[in-house]
Amino acid sequence: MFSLFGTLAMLAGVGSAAVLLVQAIRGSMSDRSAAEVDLRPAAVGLLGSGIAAMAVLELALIFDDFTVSYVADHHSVTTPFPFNIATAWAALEGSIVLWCLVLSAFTWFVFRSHERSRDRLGTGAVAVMALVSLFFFALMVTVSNPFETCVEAGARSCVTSSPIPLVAADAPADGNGPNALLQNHILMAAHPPLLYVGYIGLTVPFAFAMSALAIGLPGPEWLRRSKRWTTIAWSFLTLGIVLGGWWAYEVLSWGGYWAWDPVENASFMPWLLATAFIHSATVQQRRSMLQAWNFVLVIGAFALTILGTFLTRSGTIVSVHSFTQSAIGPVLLGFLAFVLVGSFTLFAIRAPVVAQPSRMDSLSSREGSLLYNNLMLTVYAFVVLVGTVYPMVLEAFNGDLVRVGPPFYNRLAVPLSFALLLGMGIGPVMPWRVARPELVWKRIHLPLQIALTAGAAVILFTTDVGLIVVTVILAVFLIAVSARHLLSQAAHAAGIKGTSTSAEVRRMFSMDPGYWGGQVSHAGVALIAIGIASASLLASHTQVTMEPGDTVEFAGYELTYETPFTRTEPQRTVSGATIIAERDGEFVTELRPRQNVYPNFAQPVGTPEIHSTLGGDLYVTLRRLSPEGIVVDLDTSPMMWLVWLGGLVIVAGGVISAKARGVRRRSEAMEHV
Amino acid sequence: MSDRLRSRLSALVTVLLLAFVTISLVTAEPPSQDRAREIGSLVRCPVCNGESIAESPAPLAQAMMDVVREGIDDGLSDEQIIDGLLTAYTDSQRLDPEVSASTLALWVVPASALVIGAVLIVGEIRRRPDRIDQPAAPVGAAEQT
Repeated sequence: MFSLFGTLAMLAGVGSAAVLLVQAIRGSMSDRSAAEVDLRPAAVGLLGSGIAAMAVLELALIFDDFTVSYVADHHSVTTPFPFNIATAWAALEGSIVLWCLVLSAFTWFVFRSHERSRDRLGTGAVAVMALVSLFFFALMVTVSNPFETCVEAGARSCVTSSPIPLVAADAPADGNGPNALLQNHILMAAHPPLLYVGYIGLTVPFAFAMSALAIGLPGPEWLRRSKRWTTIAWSFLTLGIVLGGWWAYEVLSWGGYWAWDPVENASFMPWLLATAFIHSATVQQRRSMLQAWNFVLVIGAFALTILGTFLTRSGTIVSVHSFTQSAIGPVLLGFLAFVLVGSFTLFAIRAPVVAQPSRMDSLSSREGSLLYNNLMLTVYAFVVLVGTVYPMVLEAFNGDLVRVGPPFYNRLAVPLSFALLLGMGIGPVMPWRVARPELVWKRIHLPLQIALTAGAAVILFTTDVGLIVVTVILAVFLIAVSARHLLSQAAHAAGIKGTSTSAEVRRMFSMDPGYWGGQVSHAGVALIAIGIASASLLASHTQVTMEPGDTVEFAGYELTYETPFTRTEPQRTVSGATIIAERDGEFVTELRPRQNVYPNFAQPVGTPEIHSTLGGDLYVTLRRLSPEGIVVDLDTSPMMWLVWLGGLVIVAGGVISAKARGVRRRSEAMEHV
Repeated sequence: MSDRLRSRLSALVTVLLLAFVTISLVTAEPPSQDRAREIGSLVRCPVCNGESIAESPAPLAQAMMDVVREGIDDGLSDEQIIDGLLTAYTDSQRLDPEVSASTLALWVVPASALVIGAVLIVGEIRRRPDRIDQPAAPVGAAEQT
């Protein structure tokens, strides 16, 4: 029955998207038709189909309907809440259902903005959203159908299935359940949806850009709407990436949070280009420059999301993230080619109207620093892109197996990150057009002294590891420059108007949320930089073998292995070791690193135990467990919490910036005093 | 204290701090690292999901790490140890590709992006050399555009 409802929902989605596409294209032909066209029924239909498909899949999982092929293959009656819910996006076909749901919701929001603006630009954007929706719903119906009916069941899966509902169904008594890695931690339920919202949200700026090009109406309007939507999508993407890192840290047993895995890269590349766009859009808004480049960035960011989906789902790469191989790969690759060829052809045709006459006065200016930022971010994206894609291309052409791993990326990413941190420090206090050196020096000399003092303090009291000292100097400089700028302007305004400094700070944030939200995000990046540097360069590691009663000393702790334990849960068997951590004879905590054996998966999945303090984390991973003793990895991650805090601060900055809609800049004149 | 004196003092403080930090960093001892882990992080675990043998809990990766430690005890160089590993475990690869004709693109593509981008940006300025040294344009109203 669920197969039938699911199939109907998918087909309704295809139909609604097609109708919406045709209506919106016709509506975008003239101002009059844009004002008169009624897109509501089709938009409602599309959103309803997206919600219905997801709801049916969830119900099929909750009610254990193993006649649905997806449920038979990826669910088990023993899968506990909330992992049974999260199973809906834990495998390939279900992830496309989530994709369609998020995409139809974004299409709905673009439709709502069309209803307010009633212009050709907005109507055309709905058409682009409808086109992308049509592709993904059609993808779901054809090569990625989760609602097929199982017609021949295996022991714990479905062997043969049919896309036609209501055929005579067969069902296994129980299924394998979702991938063991994915049912091991609660973050797995949250990380993919957030990432998807960010990822798919980048379709919206693309839609406005394509609409502006197709209509031949470049200018400030498409940019304003694209920037706002990019900021929203970027905030979700950031949160999704940070939670993904956190999940890896909690589950993957190596104390790491970022491995330059091709799929992590797939989420990071659009993030880099979206970040570049948010910055260069400001240049177009303020100085009427870079419009062509902004189109390129928006197209590039969207194309990279499609590339990312392809990488994850085509079976070309092996990683903890990748889904199983299927026919979906070539289809996605074809769509990527269509997007690139189509959008750049349109771009080339409209090149004469896209070009802007305005030129830069000096490199030493705000726009100069933003161009520098764009150059660094773009090169960064190229490093990640070539490292991710080139090995596959090489293998496809001559069969050479080349692996590009963390050592390659780190070598290039570290200098690029330093260059970006430096730019984030100076750029925001450079005036537009031409920056007089005296003015810039006035704004940065005190922060520079604070930063160098912080660096000297680190050398004297903590470590003289160069990368950490340089990171601390750049990060403190960035935060100090921003804070000084905010406080001195607020104090100046308060002195003139007789108000309080804190009232002026609040006013400045509300007058120019784009700028100050950006400064908050910069501070978050600075925190992450310090966190990464200390967690990776000050970490200590050892592997010990212990028998019950043994005590080892590590990182200031005395760790005593008490007893092994085993408990059986419905979906898994958990074995672990109880270790008592003491410091100077005082009890600190009890650590219980575990290995979880899921009956249908060969490899056990570890649950490392993490003891967090302000100074950093003690990270204990159980490697081997036998009656004679245990082998455990002991790691420290100094200041690890800074990475998570910094991530949340970046997102907070994005949320502040996203409020920028409609706020006109009146505070800017002050900024140049 | 006059403004002039103050700004000179300020510059002096900056230079002194910078000198201290620079000299400390240049003369610092390189941090001692776990060499086995360093080497292991350059070699891909053949049976894992893209992890290095230093990170992976898989028995095969642990066995390969034992080979690395033996190599260190035998006084071999990093390269000798890695070459030995790759010969013994043919399914394994370097995570840090060597520079060769077929891998050159990994460095050439980003470097070209950097050079081309920089040339484009500088070209944008040079078209109007007469404007470079012009004093700051009136700020305020003109910048509201």
